[in-house]
Amino acid sequence: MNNILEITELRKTFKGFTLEDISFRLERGYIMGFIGPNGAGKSTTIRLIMNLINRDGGDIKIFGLDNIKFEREVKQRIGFVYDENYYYEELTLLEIKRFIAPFYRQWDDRAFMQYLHRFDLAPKKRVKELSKGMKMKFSLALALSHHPELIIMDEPTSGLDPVFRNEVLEILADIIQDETRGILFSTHITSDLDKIADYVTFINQGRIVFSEAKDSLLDSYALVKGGRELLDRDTRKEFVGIRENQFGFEALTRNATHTRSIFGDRVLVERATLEDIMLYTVRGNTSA
Amino acid sequence: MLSLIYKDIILQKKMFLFALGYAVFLFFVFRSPEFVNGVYVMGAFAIAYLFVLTSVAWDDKNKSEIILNSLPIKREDIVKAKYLFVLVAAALGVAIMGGTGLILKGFGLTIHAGYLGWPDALASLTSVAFLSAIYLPLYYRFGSIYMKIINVVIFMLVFFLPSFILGYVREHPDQELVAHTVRILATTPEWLLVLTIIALVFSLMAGSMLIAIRVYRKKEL
Repeated sequence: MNNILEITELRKTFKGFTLEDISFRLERGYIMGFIGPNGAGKSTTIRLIMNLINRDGGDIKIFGLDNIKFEREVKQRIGFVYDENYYYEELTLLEIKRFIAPFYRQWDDRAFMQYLHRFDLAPKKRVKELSKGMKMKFSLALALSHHPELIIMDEPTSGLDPVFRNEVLEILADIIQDETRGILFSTHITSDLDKIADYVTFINQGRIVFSEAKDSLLDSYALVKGGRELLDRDTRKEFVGIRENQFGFEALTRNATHTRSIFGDRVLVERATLEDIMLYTVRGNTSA
Repeated sequence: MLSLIYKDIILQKKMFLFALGYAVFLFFVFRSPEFVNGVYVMGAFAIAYLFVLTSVAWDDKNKSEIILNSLPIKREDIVKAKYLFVLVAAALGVAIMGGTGLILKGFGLTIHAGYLGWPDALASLTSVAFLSAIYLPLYYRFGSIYMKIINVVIFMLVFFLPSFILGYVREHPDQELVAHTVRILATTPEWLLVLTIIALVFSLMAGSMLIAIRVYRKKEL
């Protein structure tokens, strides 16, 4: 079994929100993008994986081990980066390192200093003196310096400028060259995933819409454009979501081959992006 | 666990300077002979409790408990480390007051205060342990924002409960429980009383820690 992360029928209910029996798995050597709109359940899932909140049902296995029963063992091998800085703002980077390092058996001081150097972070600076992007890089340096096998990142690129974001993506692409590791990367910036993700798991309103290899996903989904006269009760069923205006319609299909066979040359079929897939799935049918 | 205590100590950097200034201030304000006996206990207790409050405020401020709970450590060890830090804070409070007293006396700046003794250190430690035993489980349940209100209640209790009890004892000297308690206190040797109080406080601390661990295990971050 090569699953580095395996989630089965995971359930958590808050007032006004339920994560409904979600299941997905990530194999070693791959990057999984975890996408969905704000409030879809991405952070809740990650908090459940990290055992920061209590699950109501289901299983989480990391390296084949239950994440609660073997919490310490599992966390030894996880690197985490959250969407905000939760480190003590008053401490310097070096002080935080001195406090964090003893927790990890595999802590590598040399790697940590190399990351600080690479990210242009001064060890004697306090966390509160860093910009948002630098705080994220510092989190990443801490997360990577004990050579984790699973890296969990909750919206690491949100609020970062494109240059920073690209740099982070390059680092992740570097890390995954070593095929023993896995990365779960939650984001609502889907263009990040176009570059690096191997698998995409899409969550919406607490439910998994799909969890598939990115390439097969982009092969099966497609954007379809055509005249409104082509839409009737039966053909509408072909689409995940339809946008209509006075000139025609634009819709997302889950099965490009089937749609082509129905409409032939009367429509224009284009490759969908992850953003298209997310938008149409979340918004459903709209007309202008 | 030592690493968590190290973190709590280095987070006090600014408080150390404040505590030193506060110690000098206390020796100056309470320099008259009738107060000098209590200045070490009062100062060490206040400084230590301030260290404890500061350490939990830092954990809470940036939701840093999310980091602590993402590390390979059990939740109960996070709580245990905080209770150990209470003892470290008490030791630091005693050291700061003792050291300041020593230096001030060395320069001849305090006339009446003696040197810090074991009874002062024990009294400070016991009072900090007592107050923290009440404070920490409530903090783990409610977080430090609500604790500002609860702290006021705790302080009121600490300051007014003893005088209320003493007042009650004075007004009802013949009441059976009061008379019985006074008799026991009068006949028991002082060392035994002190030992009993210390034992009671540390049992309270142990019980408090078990409650805090239970509360914290269930806490959602």
